[in-house]
Amino acid sequence: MKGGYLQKQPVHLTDRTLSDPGIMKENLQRENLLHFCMLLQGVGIQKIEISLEVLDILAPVPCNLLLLLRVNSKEELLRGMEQGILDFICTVEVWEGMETDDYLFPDVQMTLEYSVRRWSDLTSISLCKEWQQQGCRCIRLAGLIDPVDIDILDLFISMVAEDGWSVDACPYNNTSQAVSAALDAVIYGACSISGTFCGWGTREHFAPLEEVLTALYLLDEFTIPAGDLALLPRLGSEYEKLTGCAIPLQKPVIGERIFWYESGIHADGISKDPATYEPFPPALVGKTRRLVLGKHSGIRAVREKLKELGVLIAGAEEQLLQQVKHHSMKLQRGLYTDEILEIAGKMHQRIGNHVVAGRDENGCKDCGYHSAGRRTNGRHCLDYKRKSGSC
Amino acid sequence: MAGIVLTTKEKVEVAKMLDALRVYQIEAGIPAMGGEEKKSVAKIAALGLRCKVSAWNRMHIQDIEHSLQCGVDMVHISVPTSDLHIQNKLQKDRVWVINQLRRCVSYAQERGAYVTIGLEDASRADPAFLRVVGAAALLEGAKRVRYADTVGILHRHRIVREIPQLHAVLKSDLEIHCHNDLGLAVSNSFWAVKAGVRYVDSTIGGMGERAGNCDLYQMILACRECPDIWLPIEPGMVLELEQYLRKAARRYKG
Repeated sequence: MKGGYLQKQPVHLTDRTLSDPGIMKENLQRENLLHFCMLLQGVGIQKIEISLEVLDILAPVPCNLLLLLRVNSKEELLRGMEQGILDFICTVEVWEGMETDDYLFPDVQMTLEYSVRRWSDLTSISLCKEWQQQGCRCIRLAGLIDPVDIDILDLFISMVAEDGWSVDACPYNNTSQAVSAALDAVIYGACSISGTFCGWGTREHFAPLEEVLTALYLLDEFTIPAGDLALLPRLGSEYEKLTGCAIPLQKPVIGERIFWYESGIHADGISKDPATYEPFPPALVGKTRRLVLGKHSGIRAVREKLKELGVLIAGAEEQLLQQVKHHSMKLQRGLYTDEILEIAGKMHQRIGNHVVAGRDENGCKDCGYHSAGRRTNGRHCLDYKRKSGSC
Repeated sequence: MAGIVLTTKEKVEVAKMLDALRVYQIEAGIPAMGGEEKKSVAKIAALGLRCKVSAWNRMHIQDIEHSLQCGVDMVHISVPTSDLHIQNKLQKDRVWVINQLRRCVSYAQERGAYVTIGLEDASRADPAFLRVVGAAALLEGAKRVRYADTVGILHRHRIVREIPQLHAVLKSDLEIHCHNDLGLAVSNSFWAVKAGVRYVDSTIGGMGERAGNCDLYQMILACRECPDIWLPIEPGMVLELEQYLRKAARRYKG
């Protein structure tokens, strides 16, 4: 459904993976970090929040990277400024403990982070106008785990906007509400959303930014950041190296198996129009779909798979389907490609059908092996295909 | 989930564990697939569980007949509702859908079945057509209507608007079925309950097509934040069941 009932809001995304103290220190090399940062920007994440430890490794910082340095003291702020960093974030407690009048430059921006685990915490936020003159113009609301009174966020953002403050929302994902809260924050006028790739964090879990990005792209009511989501698999590999965590197989947007399908109903729908059972094409996020044959397969799935493998068993798909189901139940899982080819090969021997690789019944398109009007040993092509992937 | 196979013995064991969790209903499978699938649904239906046992059906008389033969408590009939599904998948039109729906619901009703229907791909369907389909099913005797976000693109703002509109017209019990393609299945299910839905489809570990469905454990945690939602399922027991199912999931290496 197309949008239009919600006002479009420009929105930026900030990734805070590299400011987490749990990052794998042994993998913190400049090349890895730069690659991760470039890929984050490549998919459409504008800002990258880092710790001082990461800054020391990244320095000298390439000028095309928009970095947000998390600081815990005045000394760290000064060290960041020496490295050319102009964008900082700290908790409001740290800010209130700093003496700031003598060293902030006009270009420096400070985001103040408030912990908002319950909506009642919003009422305890007091913003000082003088802070704006010292470079503070953005506040981050970190937490937002109580979903029920989320509409209060609308009122809060409007009120602080009147005083010249912009809001960054950083929902925690304790109750799987972070992406929803992020979208709500965008609708209510937050200028940015903070999270991490894959929702990762060692102390808290955050909104998975790949989910937020894809939702913003798909749902049509939002202004999307420019980026290429097809870079997500490469970003996923770098993430696994940095964090030591594997991406779950069914993880939305980036899981390895999210475009695998088996059920007959899905196979039928996808063969007619993939949009019937896919919210977006796999290629959008750098993936391909994969048809698995197993217990839940139907005849159309078998035909599609045989077509994909370049195998023709004239008039025997139903028998092959029964064999697939039988073997799948016996093995208690779906079948692998070589298992399917083996079943098809054995069926050829038993029922004597003409089996060739390729769609042309007059001979194999790849190697020209030809039956010349008699029953052929189609196993030539099956064997070659299984061993080497081609004739 | 593609590649994952549960044996009949495992399915029966899972059914007993779900019953011990005090879930309201188990959708045990698709009897129209025949073979082991049909046998497993019949076995689960014969267990005498406290919870209801239902079977999933396409809008085909033969599918429903297979389910009735299994002795299930409820027959669920899935009705494609988006023009994308009706035209591209079924290669039919809306009139055909309504007529076929009526035929199937009355067939099941006449044979004593408790019927629920699912509005497949509802989140991409014309809301007015959803109301027509729901009303037609209820007139024929269906007892509950499921709103299926088949490709996982719903979000809170649509739910709080569309679910009450549907409820106001149908005035029946509503059920929500969410997919997790954008990480929103638990949140959407939660907000659907806040909007008046009383039945939530969920799975253990969020297992399901593509990025899965609403994860039961996560749903319990989300509902605990809300004092006016009562979901009396012990989360620790859900995690035990997740452990059991992970064994089956690990058998397919891909």
